[in-house]
Amino acid sequence: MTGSTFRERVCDALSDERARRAVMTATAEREERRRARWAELADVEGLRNIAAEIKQHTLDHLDAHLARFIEKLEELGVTVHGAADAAEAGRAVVEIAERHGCRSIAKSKSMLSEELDLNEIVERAGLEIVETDLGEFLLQLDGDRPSHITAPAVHKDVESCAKTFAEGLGVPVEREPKKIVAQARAHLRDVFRGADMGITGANLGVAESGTIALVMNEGNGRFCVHRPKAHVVVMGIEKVVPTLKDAAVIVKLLARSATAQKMTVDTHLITGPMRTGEPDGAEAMHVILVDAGRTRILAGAQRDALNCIRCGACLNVCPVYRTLGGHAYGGTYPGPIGKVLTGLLEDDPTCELPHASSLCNACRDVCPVKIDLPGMLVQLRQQQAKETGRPRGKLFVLRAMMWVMKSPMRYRMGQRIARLMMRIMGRKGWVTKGVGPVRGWTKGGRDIQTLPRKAFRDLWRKGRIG
Amino acid sequence: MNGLDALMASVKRAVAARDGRRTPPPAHEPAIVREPVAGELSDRFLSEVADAGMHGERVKAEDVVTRCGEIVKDATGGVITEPALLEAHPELGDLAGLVADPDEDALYAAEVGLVLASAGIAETGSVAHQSGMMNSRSAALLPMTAVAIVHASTLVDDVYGWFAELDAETLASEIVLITGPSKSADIGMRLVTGVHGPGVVHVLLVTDR
Repeated sequence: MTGSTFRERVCDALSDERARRAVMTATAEREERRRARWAELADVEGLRNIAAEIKQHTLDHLDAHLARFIEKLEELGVTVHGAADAAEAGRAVVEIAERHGCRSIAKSKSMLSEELDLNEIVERAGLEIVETDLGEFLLQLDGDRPSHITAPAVHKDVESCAKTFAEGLGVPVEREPKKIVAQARAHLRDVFRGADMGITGANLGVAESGTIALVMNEGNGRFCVHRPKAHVVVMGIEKVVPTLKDAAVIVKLLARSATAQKMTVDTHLITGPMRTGEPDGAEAMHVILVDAGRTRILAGAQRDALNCIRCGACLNVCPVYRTLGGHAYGGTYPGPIGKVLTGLLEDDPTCELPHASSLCNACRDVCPVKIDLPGMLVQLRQQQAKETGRPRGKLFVLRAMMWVMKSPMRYRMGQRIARLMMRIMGRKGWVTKGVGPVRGWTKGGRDIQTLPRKAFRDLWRKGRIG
Repeated sequence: MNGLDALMASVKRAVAARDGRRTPPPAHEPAIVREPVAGELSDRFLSEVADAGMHGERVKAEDVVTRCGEIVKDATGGVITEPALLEAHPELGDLAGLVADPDEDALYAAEVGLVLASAGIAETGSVAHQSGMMNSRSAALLPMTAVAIVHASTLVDDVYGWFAELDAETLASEIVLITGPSKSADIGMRLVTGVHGPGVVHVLLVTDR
């Protein structure tokens, strides 16, 4: 996955049969299970509406809710830091490590830290940092990047996982997932025991109580706060919710949407560091609140993108994600939400991802907080068109299509011409190499099935159907 | 101006720059946010415990020690627990293999951890364990087998109801709602249990105390 342009990355992704199969199976299975889980709720539509309103309300008054959150955290003895960007967040982590004399860090999964390239910054400062989520650990050993929000190594099969562990840890190659996991467990136990700092993300921050909520299945998040000198939370400012009841609404939807579980194995509520007289816990706790483009998004037209609770349901249902996997997107967040967020977070108005969508609306229908992702993609395309000017060739083609489609006779004629053209260009039922104006369309691996010899309407008229 | 003040200033600016629309906090209609449990709470709880991949059973208060003894009998690496549980069930203090005042090595070597749950949730089979002076995060986390003692009087209907009863001013430093053994499907999307935390979770529902 080294392609530098989106088109090159797409070609790479399409040619990796093994990864495509893995992603296709995993996403389809998750989507089916999610649907069944949602159906169990008393009123899933009502719950989605409340969740969406909770997020809307919070972002509409984000200054007030953040202020309350910070106040509660400080009452609990937590040190709160603000970071405008990745560099500031990294610097804060390094300073905290210096203050508490920490050298080795155990880290649990956090999409924000991926976004910030936090590991690289921290390692450059001479600290050791180990990813402890199994999938993330695997990717760290491999020098690879996550390709899904909740299943980071979904693009790897058992065999490639086994190889990575054997090479990375110097242990024998195991074929059984259970044995591979046992190898990782043994290794990471020592990591946890030796670590003097734990870094986690935050699925939610509760303003009224100063609580950090983490949802997780492996248990590594609990290890990160088990007995370190310092626990550092790296969280985006949009993760705050006003009350514990609000948190309950989000938690109910999050696990069901992300992994089709009623609850994840650990729903972990952390309210301040270890207290006097307690036998275990983090001696000190720090929360780094990160902007990294979020206040810009908050003030802009696509502000609803900040409502996202990172469940990944929109990836699993997206025909484009299912075909490409996550790496082709090139940003931290793949899939429909990534198409919206990547350009916004990077402040790149020319980002081409909003165009990589068929606008089928499946993502909007599964979003637990009802983000109108297709609507935003159209908005982003419009903004781009306004700024860069509309391409004349495309405009001509679209106008011609409009003209053709306005009359049944022209439409029939158009179909005939298209059928003929495709038969000339096609090989074995597929057009893989266009000529003339469609040459560009097929460049770089895109293909299309030729239209069948007879149109449905002709067969119908001749009484061969029905 | 430090980083936090600068951040808050940007947030204020961004909020002020938005259009006039200000969504009020939504009402949490009980018919929507709650998941009512039909029938006996304890029946539903135990069926959800099983669904989540844990081993649940009803135990009479006087049988707790016998049942725990059976579960820990092969644990040659030792058994750890927490003062809160010993206070509720003093007879557990005589359990074979129990390590009193374990040092760090003993904590990591232990094979079974016994803990007292602060609540059980019928909707999902979740077991709440919280930190405190009388509690041990280690006992609930480190050993491969975890045993959670849940008193029937602590059962609540649903997740929302459990959250609704929390007091924002007096929360424990850590509460974990445990719903199943530690697990991952990161290796080839095949489900494996016992990744970092306990791979086997017993839930003993104590019915008559």
